[in-house]
Amino acid sequence: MALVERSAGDGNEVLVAEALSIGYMQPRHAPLVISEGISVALRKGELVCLLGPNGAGKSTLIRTLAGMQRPLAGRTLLLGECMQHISPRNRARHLSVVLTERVDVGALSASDLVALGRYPYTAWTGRLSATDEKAVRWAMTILGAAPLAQRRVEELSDGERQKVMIARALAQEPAVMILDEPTAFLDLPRRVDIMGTLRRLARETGQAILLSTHDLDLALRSADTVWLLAQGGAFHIGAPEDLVLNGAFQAAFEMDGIEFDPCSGSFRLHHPSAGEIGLHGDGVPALWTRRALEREGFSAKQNGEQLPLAVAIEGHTNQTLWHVRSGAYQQTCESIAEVIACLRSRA
Amino acid sequence: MHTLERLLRRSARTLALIALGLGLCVAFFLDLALGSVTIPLADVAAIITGGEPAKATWSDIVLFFRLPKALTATLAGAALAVGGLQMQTLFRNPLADPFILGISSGASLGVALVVLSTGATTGFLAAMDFLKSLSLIGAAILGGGLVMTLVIAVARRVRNNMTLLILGLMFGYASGALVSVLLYFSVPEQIQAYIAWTFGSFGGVTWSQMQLLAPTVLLGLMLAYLLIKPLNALLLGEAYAQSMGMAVVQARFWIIASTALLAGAVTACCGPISFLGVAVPHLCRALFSTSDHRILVPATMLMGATIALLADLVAGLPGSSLVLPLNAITALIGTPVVVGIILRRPRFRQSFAG
Repeated sequence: MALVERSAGDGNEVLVAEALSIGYMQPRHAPLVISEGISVALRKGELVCLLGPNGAGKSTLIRTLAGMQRPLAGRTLLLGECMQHISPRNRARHLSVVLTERVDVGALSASDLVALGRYPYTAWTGRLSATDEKAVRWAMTILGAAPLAQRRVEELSDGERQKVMIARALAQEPAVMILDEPTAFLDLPRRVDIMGTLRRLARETGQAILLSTHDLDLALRSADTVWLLAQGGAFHIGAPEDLVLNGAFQAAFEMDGIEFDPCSGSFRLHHPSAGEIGLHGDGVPALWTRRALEREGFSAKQNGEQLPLAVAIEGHTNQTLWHVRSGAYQQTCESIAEVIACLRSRA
Repeated sequence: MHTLERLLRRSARTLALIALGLGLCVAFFLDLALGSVTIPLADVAAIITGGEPAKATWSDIVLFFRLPKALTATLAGAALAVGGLQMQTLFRNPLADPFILGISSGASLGVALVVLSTGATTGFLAAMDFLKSLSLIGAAILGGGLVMTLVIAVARRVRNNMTLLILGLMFGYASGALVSVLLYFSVPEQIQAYIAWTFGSFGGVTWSQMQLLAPTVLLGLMLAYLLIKPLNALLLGEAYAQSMGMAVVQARFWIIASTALLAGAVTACCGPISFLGVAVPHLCRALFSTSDHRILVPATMLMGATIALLADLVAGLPGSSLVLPLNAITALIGTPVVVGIILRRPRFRQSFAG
């Protein structure tokens, strides 16, 4: 599974959308089209992140691809079969979802919850066979949720809970897993953890994983492919880096007062310029000093000796000192906070 | 280690179920033995097994009055509790009961139409007699069935459970409004007869009516057993249930159909009995600390029947010839349970928002 073919129509495509038009039927009105002409393919072992600004229709696209909502036009194929013609049971054996909404399941143990993922395989009693039990254990182990098995779901933290929900989706042993903002309620370490787990899952089990997220930085670092849905329905596909380089990212997220910085791969606020400032120094302290100066509205120039305003960093093993020079005035500071206070008082 | 833990928990649950079953048997025999006349348990046993009791009249009391009453209470309690459980799961609403889709209000309308439109000359006693007649049951079935058919017809087309819930409530309000109009134009005797019906009673079911009640309730309970798997899937909500391969419209139809059979048959034979359907599922969830319907369905069945028998026992005020309204007793048992749940579970309040 380590090597993923990338040519079109190579047989590794598990979920294909053909000229898909997404949106909503409205009674007594023309249908509300969010985006049209979307043709994409999700391949085995591939981790795809769907990005886009709020309200661009990410959830609608996710729901349409998962077969939870009918497309206005076009069709989706799951393992070569038209989504609308597959029985719910067969579909659930090949495709599973994790949704944004947080559900209150009441008093169930984590392993009971994961076992619900065996729904499409069990008979009408819902009794688990040895194979089912094995699949449940496997799914929990691979997500690192095995120690949670006997814990009650309502007692779990948000991160643990999300792992259990993903384990439940995995217990369906699907070819495709679709996750709608799986990291929405989590703090940064938990988000990195979940993304890393999904990435590993795609590599190890050959699952195709599609997830929507607002976490741009993390998506750019983890995704094999990014699908970008911009406001107005424009749809771009590509390696994350390509989309940054060709400007699709900037265009999709354009907004007053905020700009996408292709150098860091993140957004930053426009600040009214406070002028240029020289910055002397290197290493980690210089990096964070630069950030602080930029936040203050300065544009920091390396080697700007001739500038009237400058900060020089003097690094020692156990202490860093900042020398602020403004014309003839000189001050030595022991922290960045002091540097900023000094600059503000000189302004 | 986990396996051992699970095994222990499983056997604890089995034991609790067996204990509930024993409790049901005790309550059943107490209900036969106690009443305006106290009959020793040995004689009750003799009568049931076809033997001769110490007094011949006891035989009639048990066979023609208390046995059908106890059986009715058992069936009705099990039916309402399982119906309530199904509705609470389907609508993800802890306050849902088997009547939430308007069955009891439809039945009330049917009964009100019959009671309140009959001649004003019939006195209260005559009306009481009349209450026990089949035409009343017929009216309740017709009224409840009509509302239920409407709701089921709508359920097949509506995509959202919340819409369905609100529609059911609105049907209920509409028939309630019609009932109050009818009440306004009625004489006190008729109103009293109607109100006597709304108090609910297990005592009005004859052996011939039992032939209708028992099979309907058993059918409804059997359906509930077949629906355990989709009910469990619905714990995650409809969207997830569907994504796991549940046919949503079909499952919803059968869950509502099962509840309609259970609640409809009980309302027709015993009147609108409140609170059992809300309180018993919560009691069982608390007792077994699980939401798993593989345990909850049999547990609510046993616990519902037991509590209905106990309520009937208390309403009969053993040793006196007085009978309290059954609904007053079920409400007195039910309200503390619901209040306790609201106070104990902070999450309970959140679940209204979602």
